[in-house]
Amino acid sequence: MNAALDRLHAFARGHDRTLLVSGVLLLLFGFLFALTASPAAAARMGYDSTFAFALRQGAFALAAALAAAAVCWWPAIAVRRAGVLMLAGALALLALVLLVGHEAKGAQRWLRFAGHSLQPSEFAKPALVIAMAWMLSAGITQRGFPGAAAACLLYGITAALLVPQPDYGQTALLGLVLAAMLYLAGASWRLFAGGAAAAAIGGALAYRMAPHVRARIDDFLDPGQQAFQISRALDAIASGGVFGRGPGEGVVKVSLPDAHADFVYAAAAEEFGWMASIGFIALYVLIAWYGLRRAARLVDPFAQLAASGLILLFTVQAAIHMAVNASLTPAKGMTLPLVSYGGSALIGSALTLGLALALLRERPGAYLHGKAVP
Amino acid sequence: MAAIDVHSLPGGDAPVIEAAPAARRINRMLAVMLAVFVVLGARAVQLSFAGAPESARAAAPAPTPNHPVRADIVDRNGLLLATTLPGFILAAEPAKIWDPAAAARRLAAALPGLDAAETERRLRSDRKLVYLKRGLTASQRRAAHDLGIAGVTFESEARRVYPNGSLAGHALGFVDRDQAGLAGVERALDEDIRRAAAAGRPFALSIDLRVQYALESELADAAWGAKAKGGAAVILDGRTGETLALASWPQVDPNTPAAGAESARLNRAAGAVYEMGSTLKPFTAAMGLDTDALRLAERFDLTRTLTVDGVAIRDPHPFAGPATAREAMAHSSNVAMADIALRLGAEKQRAYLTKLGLFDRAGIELAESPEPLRPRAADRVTTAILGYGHGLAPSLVGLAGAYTVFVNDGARVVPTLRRHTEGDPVRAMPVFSPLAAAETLQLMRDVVIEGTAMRADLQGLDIAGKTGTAEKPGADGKYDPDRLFSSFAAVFPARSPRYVIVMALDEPRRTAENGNLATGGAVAAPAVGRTVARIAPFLATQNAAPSGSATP
Repeated sequence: MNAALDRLHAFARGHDRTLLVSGVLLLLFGFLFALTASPAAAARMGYDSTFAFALRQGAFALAAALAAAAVCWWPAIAVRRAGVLMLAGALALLALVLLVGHEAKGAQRWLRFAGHSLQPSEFAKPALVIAMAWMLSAGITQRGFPGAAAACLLYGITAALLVPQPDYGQTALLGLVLAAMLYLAGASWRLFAGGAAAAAIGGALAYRMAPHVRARIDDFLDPGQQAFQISRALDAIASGGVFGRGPGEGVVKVSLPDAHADFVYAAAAEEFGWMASIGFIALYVLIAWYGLRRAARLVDPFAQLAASGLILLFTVQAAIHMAVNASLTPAKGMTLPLVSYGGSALIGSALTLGLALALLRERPGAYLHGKAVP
Repeated sequence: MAAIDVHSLPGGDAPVIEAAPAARRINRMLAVMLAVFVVLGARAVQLSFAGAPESARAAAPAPTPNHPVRADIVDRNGLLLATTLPGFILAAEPAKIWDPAAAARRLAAALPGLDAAETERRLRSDRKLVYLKRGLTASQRRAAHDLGIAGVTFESEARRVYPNGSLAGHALGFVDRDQAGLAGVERALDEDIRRAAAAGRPFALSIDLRVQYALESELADAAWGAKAKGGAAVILDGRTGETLALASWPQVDPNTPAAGAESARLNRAAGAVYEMGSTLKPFTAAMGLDTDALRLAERFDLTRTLTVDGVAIRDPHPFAGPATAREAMAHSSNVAMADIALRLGAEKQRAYLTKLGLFDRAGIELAESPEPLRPRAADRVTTAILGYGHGLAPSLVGLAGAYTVFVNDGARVVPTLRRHTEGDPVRAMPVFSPLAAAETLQLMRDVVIEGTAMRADLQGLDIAGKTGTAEKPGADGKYDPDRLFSSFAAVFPARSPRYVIVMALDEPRRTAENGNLATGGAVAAPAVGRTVARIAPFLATQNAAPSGSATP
C-alpha cells in the first residue's frame, strides 16, 4: 500500500496536486453520473443494455486518464510538436468529415469506422490552442514575425472547416480563446477592434443564414417562447434544490434530451443538488485558479501562452455549458469537459488538461525565481 | 482578485531572468473567469431556491381549469352552453406497480369503460409513465385514488362540458382532448373563444336556448312522426341575421360526440346541401315582379304542358281554369314558374341567385358550411327547372339567409352565430325592390291561407311561407318519387316581418299521423306552425313596430 502511494507520489512530483485531483474528481463524477443517467438515456435511445452508456463512459474515462497521464510528462517542445501534428491531423480529418462525415442531430461532425465514431473537432481544439500559442510566442521572441496574424490565420482555417458542419459553438469557443490569447500576448487594441467587428459580422451572418441559430437566439431573448430543452433543464436544476433528489432519482432528466451530454449539468443538479451545481463550479474554479496562477509565473512565452490557453479552453467551455444549462446564454450544445458522455469529447478534454499539466509541471528554469507558487 | 506584482516578490537578488511576460494579463484573465463562475454559482443557487423562473413554467402546456384556454359559451341571454371543468388523467408508473393484473382488475372495476386487459398490458410496459384514461371527473379520480394502489398517479387536464347535453349540439360542435375545436362554433370561432378566455369573459352566441329547445323538440317530433331519415331546421332573426336556433336531427351530444352514429354528427342544417325544390319558387316570383316580367294580374293556363327544348314540364295536379300568379304560387305550379324563369332568361336569373347568396357558401361562420351544388349548364331547360327550384342545392341556412329579403324590404342579411349588439351595423345587400319583396310576401301568405301550407296557419300569427317537396335522385340518376326532401320555409309575422324559419325532413314517409302524405305541406309546415306558436310569445312579435326594419 505504501509502495503504491509512493509511486503515486512520484507520479505527481512536479505537478500541481490540485489540478490533478480536480481532473480526477471530474472524471469520477462524470462516470458516477453516467451510471445514474445511463438507464434513462439507454431506454430513450433503445439500447439493450441498461448500463451501456455507463460501461462505455467508463472505458472512455479510462482511456482519457491514460492519455492525460501519458502526455503530462512531455517537455514543452514535445507538447508543441504534438500540438502542431495533432492540428494537422485534426484539420485533415475535419476536411474528411465534410466529405464523408456521419450526420447526427442535424450536423455532420462525426467520422465512423469499425462501429466507432470520432469527432475530430474535439482534438482540433487543444491542438489549435498550442499552435496559436506557438505563433504568438514566436511573435514575441522573434522580431518581425507576424505572430498575431499567423494565429488568426490558423483560427480562420479551422473555423472554415467547422462552420460548414455546422458547428458554430466550437467556432465561437475557439474565437473566445483566441481573443484571450491575443490579449495575453499583448496584441494591439486595433486588432481587437477588428476581431470584434469580424465576430459581430460572423454572428450576424449566422443569425441570418442559419435558422437554428436564429431560433435559439430568439428563444433566449423572448422568455415566453422558451425552448423545450431549456425549460426542462431549468426544471431539472430547480427540482434538485439544495440536496438533490438523490442518485438515480431524477425525473425531469427522463424527458431532458441529451441529459448525459449537453445537459449533464442540469441533470446532475437535479439528482445531487448543490453538490453538483456548486461542486462542479468549484472544481472548474480550482482548475482556473491553479492553472492560471501557475501559468502566470512561467518564464517561457510559449509555455505560458499555451498553458493559459489550454486552461482557458477547458474552463470557458465548462462555463458555457453551465450557462446554457442555466439559461444565461442562448442554447448551444457544449459538453462539460471531463464529465459529459462521449469518447472524443472526453479524450479531447483529458488531453487538454494533460497537455496543460505538462506545460505547468515544475522543472528547472521553468518558473520565475524557480518557484511555481510564490 | 488583484494582480500579483511579480516584480516586488522576494528573491530579487537572484540573477534576473526575463520576467514571466504575461503575468499581469493572465491574472486579469483569471479575475474575469472567477467573475463568470461567481455568476454561474449565484444562478445555480437562485434556481435551486426560487424554483424555475416563471418563463420555464409558462412553457408548460397542460391548461388547468383555473386558467382555461377556452371561455364559457353562453346563449344570447347569458345561459350557459359550454364550460370548462377540471378533469384528470389516470396515469401510472409501471415500475412501482406491485401486481399489474390485480391493479388493472381493481381499476377497471372502479372506473367503468376502462379495459382491464389493455390496462394490464400498459402497466407491464417498461416505460417510466403510462397513461391509462383521460377525462376523469373529480369523483372518478377519488374512486381510483381510494383504491390505494401504489404507483397510480393523476395529472390535471381541462374537460369541456356541455351542460345541456344534445341541446344545440350541432351549433356548438365539440373539442378534442387537448381543447382544440373540432366542429361547430368550437371550431369556427376557436380564436374568439380563446380570446374571450384570455379576457376572462364568456363568449355569447346568437342562439336563444328557449327557441332552440322549442325548435329541436318540434323537429324531433316531426321527424319521428314521419319516420324520416333526418331533419334540419333553422330560425333567423332576419333583421340582424342572428341564428336564434339551429337544429339537426338526429341530435348529437357534444359531451360524447363519438358515441352516436356517424350520421348524427352531420349538421344537416348548416353542413349539408339539399335540392330544395319549390321553396325557391318565391324567388322566381320576386324576380318576375322586380323586372316586370310578371304582373300580379296576369293569368296562367296551368293545364298545358310547357315544352322547353324537347323537355316537357307539367303540373301533376293542375289548377283548373285560368290561374292568377297568386293561385300559381299557392298551388306550387311548376309550369308558371318555369314560364317566368324563361321570360327572365338565364343571365338575369343567375345574377339574382348570386345576389341571394344561393350560389355561394352560406355566410354563417361554421367551417362545415359547404359550397352549394350549382347548375353547370346555362341552357333554357336548366333555366326553366331552376325556376321551380330544381338543379340547385343550397344548405338550409343558405336558404334561410336568402329568405331574409322578405324581412328587409328586399335586402339580404347574412346569417351569423355571433350575438348582435344593439347599434352594431347590419350589412344588408339589396336584391329586390321593396315593392317586389312585399308583393311576394303576400303571395307566400296566401300559400298558408289557401295553398299547400294551410296546416301551418296560426290564429293571430301571420306566417307566410312556401312548401317544397323535392324528389331525391335515385340510384339510376332519375328522381325517385318515394324518396323525398320535404321542406317549408317561412317568414313571420307577415304584417311586420322579422323572423325566418326553415324546416326540412329528409325522406319522410307517409304515415297516418300526417294524413298519408309526405309533402312539405304535410310534414314540415305543421311542425313550423307548432314551433312558431311556442316561440312567438317570447319573441316580442306583438311589439314589433310595423315599419321597423334593418337599414338597407
